[in-house]
Amino acid sequence: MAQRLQKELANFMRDPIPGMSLDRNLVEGNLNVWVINVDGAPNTLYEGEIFKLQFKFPQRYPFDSPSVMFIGNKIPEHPHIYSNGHICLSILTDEWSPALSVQSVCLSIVSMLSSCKAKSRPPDDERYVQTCRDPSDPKKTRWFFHDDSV
Amino acid sequence: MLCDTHNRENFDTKWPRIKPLIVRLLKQENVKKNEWFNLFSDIHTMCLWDEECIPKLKQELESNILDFINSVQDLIKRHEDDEALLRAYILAWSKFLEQSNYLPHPFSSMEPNNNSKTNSSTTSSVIPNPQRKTPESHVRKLMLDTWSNTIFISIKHRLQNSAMKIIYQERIGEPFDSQLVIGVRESYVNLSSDPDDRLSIYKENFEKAYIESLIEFYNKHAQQYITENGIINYLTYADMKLKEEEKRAQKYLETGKGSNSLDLHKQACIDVLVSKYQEQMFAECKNLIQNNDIKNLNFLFQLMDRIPNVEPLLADLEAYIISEGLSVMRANSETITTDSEKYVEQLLELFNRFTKLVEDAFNGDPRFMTSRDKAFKSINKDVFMKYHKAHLTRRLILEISNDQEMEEQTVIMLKDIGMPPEYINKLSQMFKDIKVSEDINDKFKQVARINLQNTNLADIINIKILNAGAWSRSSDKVAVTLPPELEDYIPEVEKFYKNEHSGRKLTWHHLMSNGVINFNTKLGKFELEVTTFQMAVLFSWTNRASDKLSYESLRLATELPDNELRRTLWQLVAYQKLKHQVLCYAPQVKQPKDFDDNTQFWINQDFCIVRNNKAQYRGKLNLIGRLQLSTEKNREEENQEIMFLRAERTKEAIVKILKMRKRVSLAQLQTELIELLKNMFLPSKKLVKETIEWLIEHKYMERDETNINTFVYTT
Amino acid sequence: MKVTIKGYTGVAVWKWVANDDTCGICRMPFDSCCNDCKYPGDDCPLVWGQCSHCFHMHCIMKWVNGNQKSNQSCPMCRQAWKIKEK
Repeated sequence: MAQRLQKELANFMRDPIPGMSLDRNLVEGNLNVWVINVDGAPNTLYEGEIFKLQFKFPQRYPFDSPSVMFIGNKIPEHPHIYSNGHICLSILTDEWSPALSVQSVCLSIVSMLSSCKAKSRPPDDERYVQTCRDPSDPKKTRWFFHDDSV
Repeated sequence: MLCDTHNRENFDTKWPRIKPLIVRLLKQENVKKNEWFNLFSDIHTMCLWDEECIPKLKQELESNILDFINSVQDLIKRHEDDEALLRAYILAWSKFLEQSNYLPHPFSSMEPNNNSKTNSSTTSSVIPNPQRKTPESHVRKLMLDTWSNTIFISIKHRLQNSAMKIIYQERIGEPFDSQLVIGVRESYVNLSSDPDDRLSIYKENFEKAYIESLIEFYNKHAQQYITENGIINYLTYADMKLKEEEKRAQKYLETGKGSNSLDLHKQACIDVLVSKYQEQMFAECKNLIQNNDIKNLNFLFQLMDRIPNVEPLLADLEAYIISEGLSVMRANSETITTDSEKYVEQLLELFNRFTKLVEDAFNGDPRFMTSRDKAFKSINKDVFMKYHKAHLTRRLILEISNDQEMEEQTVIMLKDIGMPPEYINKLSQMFKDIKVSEDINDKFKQVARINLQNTNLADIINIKILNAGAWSRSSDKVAVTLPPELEDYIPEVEKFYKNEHSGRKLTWHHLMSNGVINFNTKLGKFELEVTTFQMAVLFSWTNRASDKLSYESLRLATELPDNELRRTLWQLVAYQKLKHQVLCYAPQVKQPKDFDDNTQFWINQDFCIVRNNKAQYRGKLNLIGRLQLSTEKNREEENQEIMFLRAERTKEAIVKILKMRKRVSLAQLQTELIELLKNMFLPSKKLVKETIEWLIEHKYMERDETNINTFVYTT
Repeated sequence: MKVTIKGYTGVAVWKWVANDDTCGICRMPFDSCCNDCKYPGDDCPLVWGQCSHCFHMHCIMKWVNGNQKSNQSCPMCRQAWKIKEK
């Protein structure tokens, strides 16, 4: 796993995704947790906002998906993002594939944010945030997906 | 209670009976058993019946103790000779100390907090136990304090000075009585009546004086020794004195619980014998290493390790290894390119020499082992890996390795001397691959014997099919027309391999292929070992053996790219080791690039081998020499790779400097950069500039707002 | 003058015929082996799916065997993973 993560890190640095940058301080010591700074893209509802996206890699990565969520006090307001930072995105769970990478997950999240038409929380936000199995790990939740079109 | 008894048991009636006994006890005069017991009961009953008695008793005791001590003092002070005074004092003190353990017992009824205890266990406390200290005892405290405030105060300087004088005598080798010093120390240690800080008097006086006299002594004598004998001899002296003083301290200083005298003493010794002269000693390190003066290096190391400060020694060792390594490499530059096996041997020998140095001079200390590895790697790794792999490739392809097992053994040794694991892995892959390839070759021959029309071919042809990842980084295909005899075999091999392994694609490496040809002239028969390209060139004369062929027609015949053809022809017309060349040509040129399209080449019909000045017309000859492993184009790629690596190293080095300095000027950065990188390469100004721009762009650093030639590290 | 061949050693290198340079799972070049292996080649072969995607055999086996639910799909195209026989 370490070797693949090293490669991903090198790739991420070499071909950065616009608006996303690695919080370098957080990576140096521990490859298993990355924090990525996300700048809301221009001409989207999130322009000017700054978020932090956290990746935690399990032992069996890439055979198991990484645990991905927004952290910090700014969580993007989006119909698929709960106020505790959990993201409802199928490739993070049921549709995970080892051919996916940090970069491809990041691209999915960027496009999810960019295509948002109106800011809102998921309809079940309050209930979910109170009842989800583990606030620090969205992978513990058994997800069903609201809407595949976004 | 009885009034009558009360009257008789008061202080005034009892004391006259008690006093003479006290005085005799102080003087250590004989006291009979029943007198001793009566003392207990008298004091006990008195304290019981006369409430006023305790202050009076204390007062009387004090004055009696004081009188006694004063009389002792008078006796001691009569001695004018220091040693006699010490003896008298120690004797008097040891008696007094002993008594301070006995005398308090009868007075236990007097102790305010001790009443109940004594009442309940009168019988057991009657028997005095000198081992049992009664630190809480008022009487004992009174005795020790009075001693301390009178006799001790008035002669402690004489005592201390006398003791230090004895130690001085010992240091300069004169006769001495160590028991006296020990006695003085004991008197200091036991004098304190404060149970929580038993050692305070000892520490403030004896210990302090001891360490001061040590420092004073060596400030003078160490300096003197260096002046008279030089710093090298001083290494032995300092080592000897440190050990000697350590022993002495264990004898004279308090080592019991709560005392840190030995630590203080050790630090003082290191300060006065080692730290003070460390600069002078460090200055010698380089020469000691150079002269292989193991004995003194070992002293130097042990001394510095006491401070501890071995950093400068590590730096000298590294510098030495690097300069030795480079000079061996320079001296053997010929061997590096021609005989890598021998070169590896030399490197290992060098490495073993450094290892022995570290083991003998630095006791195999891991810090020094690490320095050895670091320095050794930095000089040899890049150069070595490049040459070694190329030569190993040649030896394995040409099957000229004498002993494959030894070669594999060498790889294990390379691992031990710190070559990177990826590299070692590549090498062992090559060995494994050669073995796999041998099996495939056997299989192929079996199949070929059945399939090929020309069964003879199956016998003369061998194949080596290797893994691209392990052997070559790029496989650029060089086109060449093979002799017609070989034409059939290529598709045959490809077909065979496809059957064996699906999903794999073969690329021919004619650059590495080679063969043996029969070269027969009118006069002689020769066997030539040749490269594929040489073979292709020589086969161009098939059926036109005596023709002169132009460069252009050879290019057509062989299909070889221009630079490869020039290189190959040059090998055949100007092979250094030959008197007579295989090919002749005209007009003469100085170098291969000067051949033009019309240069004429022809077979040397008079070709012969000259040995011992005699022409021979039979024989074998190797024309391969150094098998070329890469084409010109390839070298360009290699060059790009080297440039890329240089840029990476420069990046790392700049970040390292900035991390350390936080803020640095361009000039300083360049100087330090050269220092860091000089063993690998000298970075050009252009490269440095480009790298700085890259690092700024990627936010590793930024320019200072006020001075564009100063850089700041961004975290 | 006559030149004939007495012996010849032909050297070739082999590479996997793959539609990509690196394995989509471990990201190692196909020319070298998966992260768990030491030597490329017979010890760490490639396999091709019917969808034509290929991986180090060890990598795809780990994926297919390790994941109960996420099924037997090709990591690249999500088609059912079936090994293409030779």
